[in-house]
Amino acid sequence: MSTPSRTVRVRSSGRAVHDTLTAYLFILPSLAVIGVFGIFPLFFTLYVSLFKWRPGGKVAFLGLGNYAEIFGKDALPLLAVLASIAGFVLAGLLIRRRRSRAGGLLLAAGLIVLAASLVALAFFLPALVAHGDKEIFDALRVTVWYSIGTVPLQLAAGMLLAVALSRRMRGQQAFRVVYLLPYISPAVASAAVFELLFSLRPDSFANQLLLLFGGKPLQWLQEPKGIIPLIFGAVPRAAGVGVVPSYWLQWAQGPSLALMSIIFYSLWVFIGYYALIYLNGLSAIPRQLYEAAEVDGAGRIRRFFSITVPLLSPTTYFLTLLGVIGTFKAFTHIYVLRHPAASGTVDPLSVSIFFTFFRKARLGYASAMSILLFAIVVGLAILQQRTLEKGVSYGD
Amino acid sequence: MKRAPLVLAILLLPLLVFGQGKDLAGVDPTGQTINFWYQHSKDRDTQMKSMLDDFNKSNEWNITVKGEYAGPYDQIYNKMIASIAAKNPPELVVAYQNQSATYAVSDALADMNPYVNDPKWGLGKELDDFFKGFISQDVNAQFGGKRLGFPPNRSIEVMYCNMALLKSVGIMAPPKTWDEFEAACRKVTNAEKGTYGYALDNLDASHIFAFLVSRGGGIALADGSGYDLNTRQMKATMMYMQRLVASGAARKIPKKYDDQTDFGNGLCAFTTGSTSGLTFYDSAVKSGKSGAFEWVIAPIPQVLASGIPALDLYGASVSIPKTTPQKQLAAWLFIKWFSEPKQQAQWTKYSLYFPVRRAAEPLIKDLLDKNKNFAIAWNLLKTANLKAEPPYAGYDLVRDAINAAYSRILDGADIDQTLAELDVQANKLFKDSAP
Amino acid sequence: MATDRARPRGEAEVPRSPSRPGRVRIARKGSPAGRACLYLLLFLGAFVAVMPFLFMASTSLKTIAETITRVSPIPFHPDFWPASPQWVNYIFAWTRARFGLYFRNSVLTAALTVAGVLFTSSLAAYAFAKIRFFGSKVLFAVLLATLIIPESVYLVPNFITITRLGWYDRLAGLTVPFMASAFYIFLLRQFFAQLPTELLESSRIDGAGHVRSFLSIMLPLSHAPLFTVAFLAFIGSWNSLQWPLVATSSPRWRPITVGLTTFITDAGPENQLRMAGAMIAVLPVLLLYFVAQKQFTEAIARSGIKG
Repeated sequence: MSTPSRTVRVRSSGRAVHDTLTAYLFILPSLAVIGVFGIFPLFFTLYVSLFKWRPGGKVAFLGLGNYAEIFGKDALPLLAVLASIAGFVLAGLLIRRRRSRAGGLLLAAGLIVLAASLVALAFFLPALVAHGDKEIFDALRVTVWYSIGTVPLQLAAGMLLAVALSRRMRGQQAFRVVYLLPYISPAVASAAVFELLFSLRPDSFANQLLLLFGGKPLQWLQEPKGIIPLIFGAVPRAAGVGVVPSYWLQWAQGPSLALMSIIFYSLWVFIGYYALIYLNGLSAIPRQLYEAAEVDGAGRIRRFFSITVPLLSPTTYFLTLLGVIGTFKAFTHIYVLRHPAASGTVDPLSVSIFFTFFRKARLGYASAMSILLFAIVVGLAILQQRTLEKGVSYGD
Repeated sequence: MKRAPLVLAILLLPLLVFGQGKDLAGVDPTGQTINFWYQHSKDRDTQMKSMLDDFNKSNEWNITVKGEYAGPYDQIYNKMIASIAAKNPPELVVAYQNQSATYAVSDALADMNPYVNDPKWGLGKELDDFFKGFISQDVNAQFGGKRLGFPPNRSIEVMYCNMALLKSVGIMAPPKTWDEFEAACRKVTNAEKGTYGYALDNLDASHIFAFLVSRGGGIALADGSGYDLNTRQMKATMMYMQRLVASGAARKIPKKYDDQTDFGNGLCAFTTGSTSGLTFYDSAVKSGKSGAFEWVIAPIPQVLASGIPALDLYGASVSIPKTTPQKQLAAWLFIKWFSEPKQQAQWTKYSLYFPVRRAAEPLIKDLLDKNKNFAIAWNLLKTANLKAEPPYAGYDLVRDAINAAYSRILDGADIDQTLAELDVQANKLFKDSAP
Repeated sequence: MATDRARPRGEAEVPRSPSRPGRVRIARKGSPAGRACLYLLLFLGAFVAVMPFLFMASTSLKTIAETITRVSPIPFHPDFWPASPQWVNYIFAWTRARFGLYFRNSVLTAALTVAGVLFTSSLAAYAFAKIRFFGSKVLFAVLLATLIIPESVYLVPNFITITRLGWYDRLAGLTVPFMASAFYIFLLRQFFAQLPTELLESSRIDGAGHVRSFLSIMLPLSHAPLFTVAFLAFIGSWNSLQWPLVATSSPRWRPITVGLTTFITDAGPENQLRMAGAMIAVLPVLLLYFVAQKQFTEAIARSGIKG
């Protein structure tokens, strides 16, 4: 979107120089702070990640040693996994061109590449995890579950809530104020409450609610078991079946109950916020569209899916970007809600990095982990921009 | 004359050869201010501060010690790591042997041997009065025999027993063996009354160490090259506790100190904890739901009923971070003052920690007569077979790993597999954290 | 033309304002049963949103024994609330648990950060929006790029930096790193760019420099977005946890977020004090919220505008 106004016209080259100097003077304070604390750190982290660095200072130069510890010294699994990721991207590109000429061929090629990538991933990811730092890959798994558990629900519930709140009714403003409360209150405080609400004591709120529905008390924030075995009763034996199946069996357990409790907290915080953003987007949809659709005989649900959802897609795209990247950056409430008993199933990479730095005092290794996190976030942002934005319709 | 510099150099040569950093005679501790980080909270914080006041007023060098409650041990550890990085550590800090080892990896601590052995400032003959087991704990082989800390007090892990509850089901004395303990837990568990046997704290690996020690086991490899966590004693401990929790006779607590709270409210028959918790348990019982009731402390259950119990020796030492020679000496002088029998007795009376030397015993006689539980504990300290947790750098992280494994096992995980993984993980942490 | 159609009953003429948040279309009424359902669900949702705050308030007023023995999940049940409110808990929290000190630290840190942000961001935003200068596009892109960097990446390097500057466990270490951010520059630039240049042109003809234009023309017109930035920066500072955890160690400059998280390890079972501390952390934000509701929701909605 281009901005409507112009900058002040330059009168002469002398003016241009003067303007440039003034501009930089104006920007200097920001640049100084952001330069030292926002840009320099990125390069400094890269530097630190090449060393064994303890609180007292540098200890030894490791080169890529820290990264070797993260991914394991064996290069094959890492290369295979990276290749499979590249394969997914390639497959996506090929499949998207299916509507063009020679589309059938491209589609077939795309599907083959997709299948090959899936197989490669299925075999080599477990090998990568086995060779590398298990804690980091557990953290990535936690982040994936956390994303899947929060973003789609927040989008859907937020959208529905916004539609509900956009109708004429009394107390509309009051409702909006109330629904935003969870978002504006400090996470340390509200997470502290949730810690009590989801405690494993039989008299905690969550357990009392469960009792009301005839269930037995659960361990909630302290329960590292996945929700799939908890719901369906079966605990797939992950021991003694070989590296590959046992790794994927772990995924089959789903997020842990502890992580689910944290997801509940996130939903409680963000649904109101998402609804507000959607409300903003809703107000830009012209009424005529709905009127016209109604005249054509479209029911409320049809109108929702053919008008509301597509026209809200820019907002959805923005919120998806915000949401997914947000799950990688999430820290405060997880730090408050996490319990050591469930540590491997509730700590995303950001928390893992924090403890590697703060408790294990391995500054070099923590830096390497944060470079990995950065690379993932950038990769995701680019990916989302390339793929999702294609599906966004900016007006008719 | 021209030869003066040469003569001077020759005269000073002995200093160069013998005196570098080890000669404390020339160091002047006058007027120094010492920041002391400790884990004593609330009442104990107040009591420690009053003792610091005494020192500040009475010491001949005008040294001022400022005490600060810096959080529980874990938090002090985190803070120390950060302050070492920031190059402004406190002048005196409480640290367990493995924590001081981790600080020593960053070369942040002063070796205390020169202070202990110094002809002018040291302990001299008095060193013999200290319990050998305590004094030698802080001499760390991983660091070439440097003394990384000094004990201001000690404690042991014991079992707290709600005798009122036990007697109500016909058990007249604390259980001596694990079999008796299990039977007692089951007997006491009553869903209607809401009572149960053992309030299980799975957040403190010291409990597990105490259980291992009672079964004749330990955590470290005999040659000091790492950890040995997949032992039969560990397996036995895990199977036992897994069974107890599954039957409902033991309950996991949601967070720290909840076992003390439940005990105080009369809900459970047993907890395990440090003798330094005696005063806190006392007030928990008095302010609890059921008011005061009869309770005692007893040794951790053992395998056999007879014989000397094997117990876990607790209590952190104090360490002197490297700052300036003057501040280091001043910090040492405070430690020395604190270790005098009079101060040891005073601190014991306040905190119910144990003194670390024999000369203090006559001075605490009235306490021993008055406080039955403390007397039991003191006797155990003198007679039991005491073992301490390994002083390895990075052991704090291994404790975290042990807690996590314990928790998973209590939830029903496969013991063999979990212990095998734990052993691998612990030894990796050993390598990562080594100097 | 479509506008000649007779309007169905129940519809009202509403001026369309797509870019101003807060004005919504009025939809048609729908069936009474449907509306009742809607209201029920909305009330249920509102209850879910509010219940934890009620729990926080009620627990903060109980005695320590009551927090265990007198519990109920339903706010309508008497056990949810204390037998008699222990206002003294707040006094304990403020003094003994030092939440008063932490509160003061949070206020000071937030105020300084906001002042710094307003200063740096408004100047920079003006330059980007109204001055054409060499390298502006590239510089702006670089600054925007910093927004994607996760906070974790900053932990280690900024920690080393502030320790070398001597700012560890000091107010400077808590405020200076946050006194500028590309996010606020971006927000303000959006606004400044929309202000017509004609306003500036006339004063430029009179020979006024950029500084004059900025101070006497731009700023006075910018109350709303400046408030937005101040508000967002305040909230960001008030709620921050990860950095203060790393940058402070003693209670001296500890903000209330760190105080709340360390409290649980310090105080153990005293949930009522912890909840009182949580209330102390929440109340200022809630107060600001209720007083300036409209600006609040607008600020948040504005921050969600796509770029």
